Amino acid sequence: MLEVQNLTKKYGKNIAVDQVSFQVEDGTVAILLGPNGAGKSTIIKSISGLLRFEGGIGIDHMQSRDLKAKKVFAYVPELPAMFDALTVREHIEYVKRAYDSGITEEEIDALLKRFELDDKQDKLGNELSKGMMQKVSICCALAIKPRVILLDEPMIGLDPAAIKELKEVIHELKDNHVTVLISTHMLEMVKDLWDIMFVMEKGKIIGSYTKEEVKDKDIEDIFFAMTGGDKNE
Amino acid sequence: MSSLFYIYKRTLINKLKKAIKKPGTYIMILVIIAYFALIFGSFGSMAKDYKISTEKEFSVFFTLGLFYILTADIISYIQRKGLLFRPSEAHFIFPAPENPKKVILYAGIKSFLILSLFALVLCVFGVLNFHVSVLKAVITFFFIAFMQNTFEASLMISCYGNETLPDKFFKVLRVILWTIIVLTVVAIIWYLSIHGFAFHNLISLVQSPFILWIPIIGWAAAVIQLIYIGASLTTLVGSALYLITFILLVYYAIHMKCTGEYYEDAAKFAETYAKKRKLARKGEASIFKKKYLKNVNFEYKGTNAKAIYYRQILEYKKNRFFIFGLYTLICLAVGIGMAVMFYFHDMSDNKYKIFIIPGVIAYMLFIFSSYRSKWSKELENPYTFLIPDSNIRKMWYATKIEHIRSIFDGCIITIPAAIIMKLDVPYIICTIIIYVCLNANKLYMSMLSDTLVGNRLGDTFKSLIRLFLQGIAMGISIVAAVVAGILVSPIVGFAVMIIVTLFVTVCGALGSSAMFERMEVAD
Repeated sequence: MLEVQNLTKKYGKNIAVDQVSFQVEDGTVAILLGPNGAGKSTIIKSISGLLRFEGGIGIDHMQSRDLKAKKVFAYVPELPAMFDALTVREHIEYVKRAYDSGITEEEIDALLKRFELDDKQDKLGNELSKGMMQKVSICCALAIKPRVILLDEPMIGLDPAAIKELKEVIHELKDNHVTVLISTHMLEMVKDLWDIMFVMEKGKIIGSYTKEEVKDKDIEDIFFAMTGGDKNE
Repeated sequence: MSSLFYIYKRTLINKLKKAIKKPGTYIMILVIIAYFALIFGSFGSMAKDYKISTEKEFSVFFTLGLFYILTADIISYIQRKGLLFRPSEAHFIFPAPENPKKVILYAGIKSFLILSLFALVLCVFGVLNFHVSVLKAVITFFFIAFMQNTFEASLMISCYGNETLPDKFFKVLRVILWTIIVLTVVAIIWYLSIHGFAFHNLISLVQSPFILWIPIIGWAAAVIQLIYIGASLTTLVGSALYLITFILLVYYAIHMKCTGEYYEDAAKFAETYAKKRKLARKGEASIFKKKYLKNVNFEYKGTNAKAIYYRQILEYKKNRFFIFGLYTLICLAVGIGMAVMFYFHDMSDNKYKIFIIPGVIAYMLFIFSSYRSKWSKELENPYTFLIPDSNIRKMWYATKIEHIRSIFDGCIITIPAAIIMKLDVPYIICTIIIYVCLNANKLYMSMLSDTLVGNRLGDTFKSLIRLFLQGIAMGISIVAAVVAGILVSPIVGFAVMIIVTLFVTVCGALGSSAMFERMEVAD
């Protein structure tokens, strides 16, 4: 479960996120939508512990900065950055040790195979393409066996096969009662995934909908109706 | 710290595996060995010549070295800078359930190793050249490697990870520290100017309470003096203060609250640092934090490859100082420096005076051989390769503005010194032409090394190839000038130098135009 209460983040006098509160239950896939500069990444980074903030963030009923909370939390950043001199396999090995996640060697093999990285597991971080880095980043997050996972623009740079695989992974995470929060611009990609949607603009959440509430309404129509844009623009 | 240690262990192993396959590694090892042998040898003979080879004198050298390192370290900790994190650490380590204090130690390990290495090298040096007893050398090494490093680690955690003390506290601390440094330097200069700049005066100064009671840095030096010159009121008081501070600081660092709020600054710094490193690798550096660009009216001209030149002009027009920058100031300083030197050392009657300015110019261009400007960015732009024009024209227009700038730089380097040396106008013009040619040579040889080496052998090897090619290009001109100068006359030698330099430049230009063929060469 992920709880965000009165989250405020200021950069000097500029308020990037203003009193944002929301909650994502176990086994729920939430999507965070909004135009550029709406504050999505700031929220994601605050939850991940990368920013100072005012307010409260809870992960599985623990403070987000608590090491126990971090142990069950995974984060896939928008721009992956690899250790230059660690191989793909060693990145996962580090995660396994740092989180004491209990993932077995067989499970790591299966994960690498699933994202077509099994033949690249000995490649160093600085030898990977952007798409491959993104796959490694996703594999590392999954190797944590998280209770809460945050994905910031996870589909950017992925090939169609990896996007399909990631969508399946998200469905599986949901089935395993994992809390999933995805921040994205690619509305088309998350159409079939979401259970609850938060639309942001100018640092505030301007609307939230559950799938039941909107029924067959198109995700793009909802988004543009909220933000005042036109999907045909 | 097993997971963080795992990163270090694997990084080291993988880097070693990669390094042993590169020829550059062996060259670097040889250079380092030669460098240390040279330093050891020259210091050893200097110690003998000046009869400064006792433990007492060694302790002074050690204290001065320690002063230098500790001052730099403490300033960076109090400023909450100096700990280098990479974007990969912001990605994987910051969100992980790692103790934020341990993450600070993980980042600081390089500082601990440098300090330990400093102690090890100096202790070996002391035993070999200063008759330092092995026991004292071992005690010194352990003091630095364990106690001082623990002290620094505690200071690092207390400054970086502090979430209790306000920023204002660290600002005040910075002011106090800088005041102490400035006052100490002024007092040292004042003391030595009164008592004379002799080594024995330096010894008495270093062993005085004035130095050994300076907070932290002086107290650490007091421990070193206690080991080497023994117990005195000054060394005992300084050492006791060090011990008390050590215990308090370690206690504070262990019990201080630290949840990782510093990750925000560290991640931001990691991003900025990664960008700067990328630029530095390409030989681009900026002394200005932010570029202010002007709004300009500009009529866009030129078609095909010429469009590159006009776009560069537009970009430069937006700059505050047009095409001029730091390098222009360096040229001005060199030009004025030469003029002043020749004013005091009259060279106007020297037979070979026409070669002096070209010699200085060649040396200067060699020193600044890695400096690159806007032209190199053209090779990162896919449009440069898509423009339907010949490689040679693309290369010419991408670098044309550099040649124009080098005419200006050549003038400000040459004219002041040439006037003082009473050189005739035709020689002044020819010297400027030589500067422009040598600068073009530098530019084309740099391109040529990129074309030849590409990404196959790494940046270090590429730099060596560039220096080698530039050296050959300059060498051909110099040899031709010397031969013609000896066989015929200095004037003919000068003319031959211009012709050969022009010829080598054209050859370099033709060879390096291949860079504009495919983008993969520039990757």
